[in-house]
Amino acid sequence: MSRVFKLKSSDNETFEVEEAAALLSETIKSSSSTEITVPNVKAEILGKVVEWCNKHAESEDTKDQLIKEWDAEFVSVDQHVLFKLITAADYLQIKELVDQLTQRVGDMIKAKTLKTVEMTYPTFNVEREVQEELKSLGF
Amino acid sequence: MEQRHHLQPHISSAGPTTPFGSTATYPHAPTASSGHKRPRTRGSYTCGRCGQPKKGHSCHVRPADSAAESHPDTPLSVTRTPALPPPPPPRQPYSNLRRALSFDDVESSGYGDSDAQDPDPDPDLDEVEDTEVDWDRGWGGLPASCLWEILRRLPPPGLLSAAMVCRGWRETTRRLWKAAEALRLRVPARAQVRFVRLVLHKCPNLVSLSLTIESDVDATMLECIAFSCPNLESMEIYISEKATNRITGDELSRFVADRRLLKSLKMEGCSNIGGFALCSSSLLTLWLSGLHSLSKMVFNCPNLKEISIDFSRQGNDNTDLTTMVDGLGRNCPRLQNIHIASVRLSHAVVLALTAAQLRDLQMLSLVLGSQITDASVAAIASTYPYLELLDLSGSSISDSGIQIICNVFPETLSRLLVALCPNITTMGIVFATTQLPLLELMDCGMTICDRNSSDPTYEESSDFQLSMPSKAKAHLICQNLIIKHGRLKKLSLWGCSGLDALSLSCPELNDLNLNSCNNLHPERLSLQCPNLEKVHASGCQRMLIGAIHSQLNNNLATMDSLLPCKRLASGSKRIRVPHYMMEQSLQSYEDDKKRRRVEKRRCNVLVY
Repeated sequence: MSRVFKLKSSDNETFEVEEAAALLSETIKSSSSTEITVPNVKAEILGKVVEWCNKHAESEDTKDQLIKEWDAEFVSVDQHVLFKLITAADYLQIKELVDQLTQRVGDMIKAKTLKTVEMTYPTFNVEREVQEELKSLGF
Repeated sequence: MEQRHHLQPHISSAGPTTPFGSTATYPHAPTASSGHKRPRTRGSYTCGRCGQPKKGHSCHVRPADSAAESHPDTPLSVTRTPALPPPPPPRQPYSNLRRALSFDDVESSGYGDSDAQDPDPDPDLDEVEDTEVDWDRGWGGLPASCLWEILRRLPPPGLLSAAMVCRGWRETTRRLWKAAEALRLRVPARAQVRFVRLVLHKCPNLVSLSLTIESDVDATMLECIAFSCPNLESMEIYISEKATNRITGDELSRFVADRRLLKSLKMEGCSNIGGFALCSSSLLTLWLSGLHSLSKMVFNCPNLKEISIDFSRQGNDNTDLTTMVDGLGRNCPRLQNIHIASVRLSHAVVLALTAAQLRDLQMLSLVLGSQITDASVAAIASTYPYLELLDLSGSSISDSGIQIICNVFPETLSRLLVALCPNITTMGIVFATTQLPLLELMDCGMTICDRNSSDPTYEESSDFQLSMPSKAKAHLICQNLIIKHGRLKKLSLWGCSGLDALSLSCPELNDLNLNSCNNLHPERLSLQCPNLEKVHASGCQRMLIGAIHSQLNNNLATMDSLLPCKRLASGSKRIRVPHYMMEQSLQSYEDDKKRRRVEKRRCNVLVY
């Protein structure tokens, strides 16, 4: 008889998760209650995390090609969403999800030169002075 | 690129390292002042030029540094293997920042090493990072440990770029460098020792260092490494063909003797090492290749487990191998893996080896010794009956030697290499495969050679590059090789130009090397090896390559017929569908088939 965990997002939406999926999260594993509130994570993001957990709970073999393809699609999201997912996965301590997401960001960065990093990731707090200095050096 | 590892792979589990190919230009990284947007919790006087707090800093920002020649191509590969990501940023300032070593003559000091600039760091730093947390926005909300995870996946050039994005990133990359434990570095021709020194300065906790050097190298490099990496446990120096390794035996010996923690030392191109006296109680692995003649060899390394001594194949080699092996036997009783490549290997050397009574010996490789005979095999077999790997490539052993091997080693031997042994025939090979049940790797390159070809062109196999030309041999042309083995994973028949027909039934075979099997008839090829991943077919005829492809495709097709079938007396086949095969198991069978098809569709036929 598997337990059902309830995850509550910051905007008060509740997700029900089966035990197998929920236990992928270290935070949930070490929590004493079955109702966990995840602060600062909105429902949309929490829903995606739950979806990932469900998918990974049902198939044991993570080396499976189909799972890999699914994972690859899962992480090809907008950068904003990606960062929020990382934060959520980090809070819930789901190591594999964090690995996949950070790998994705790393790949995205790797693929760009510094210049384009500045352009396409305006959320990175690049200082104006630094930008100008770089321009003067020819970057 | 393979040559430097030509004899290593079967001994060591570590794969060959490949130089990192990308280039990086070192950015000048003036440190940014903290943003005008962020609240300053205390007043500080900042330097006008670089924006750093003035207290105790020396300004490294130079006005128009030329980016011209002072930026060497510096491909780096840093692998960070800290056991855990760092804990969340501590509240107190960093207390153990060292002052940078100053190199006044380094014009390219614009590496922007922030360590040098921050002896008294801004304590605002961590507080600012935390107050920026805003979970609904984009970047600000990323916890430091996640940023660590992201940045640690970047290659070093990316790291250096990342360090310029903002202060938080700069700090994280700096910590990443500091935590670096393994570094693989390609040192291009223009760069000098000081470049290596500068890089090593970033990662003082380095445990493992691998350098691929494209210019001449001498003892100053050793001194630099000795100075910069006090905790070094593993060092590898690979050297490109055009460059010379000028390190002498004395210098190497001194280096090794002073390194209390050094466990593994690998060096290539050791042409100037005329002799050495290595004294180290920590050394476990020693690989020296490209050696010329050695006079004095002292191995005072009682814990040595693995040794690889590779002599370059040029004229005047006066090394007394017998004495060397004798010394090894006496001083290094814990040896497990021995590899010696030298044309001066002889039966006397083998006898010295057997006299040593090395109790832990598991892998023995004595290659290029044409004077090694079946008698040597007998000696080895009687003294060391538990070998897992035996490599006698280039020797004169014959099928009788193989017989001795099969009598003594069937319970342990998993790797047998007898490439370039002209006295071995198909009978010997087949005998070996039938008598050695644990065999996983077998190399019979250049054994079955066509008598008509006087100088057979051979291709380098993926493992070996033995440049001995094979002797033309009076031999029957029709050589048929039938191998059935349940465990064989890797089989090499490179250069077997006398091979006419080949039939392989090896369910576990992954890698097959048929380079230069010019006389192998396409219609007499049968490959029943469903797990085959790589087939090397360089130098083979087109039709043969076509035949290989069709054999591989047939293998995929036959996998579909997984239903058990029974051959009846009349010769017809009745497929019996088991009664348990219900709807769902049929469905899972379909899924399984689909999955397997996705996984197994690739077997690469490599024709360079």
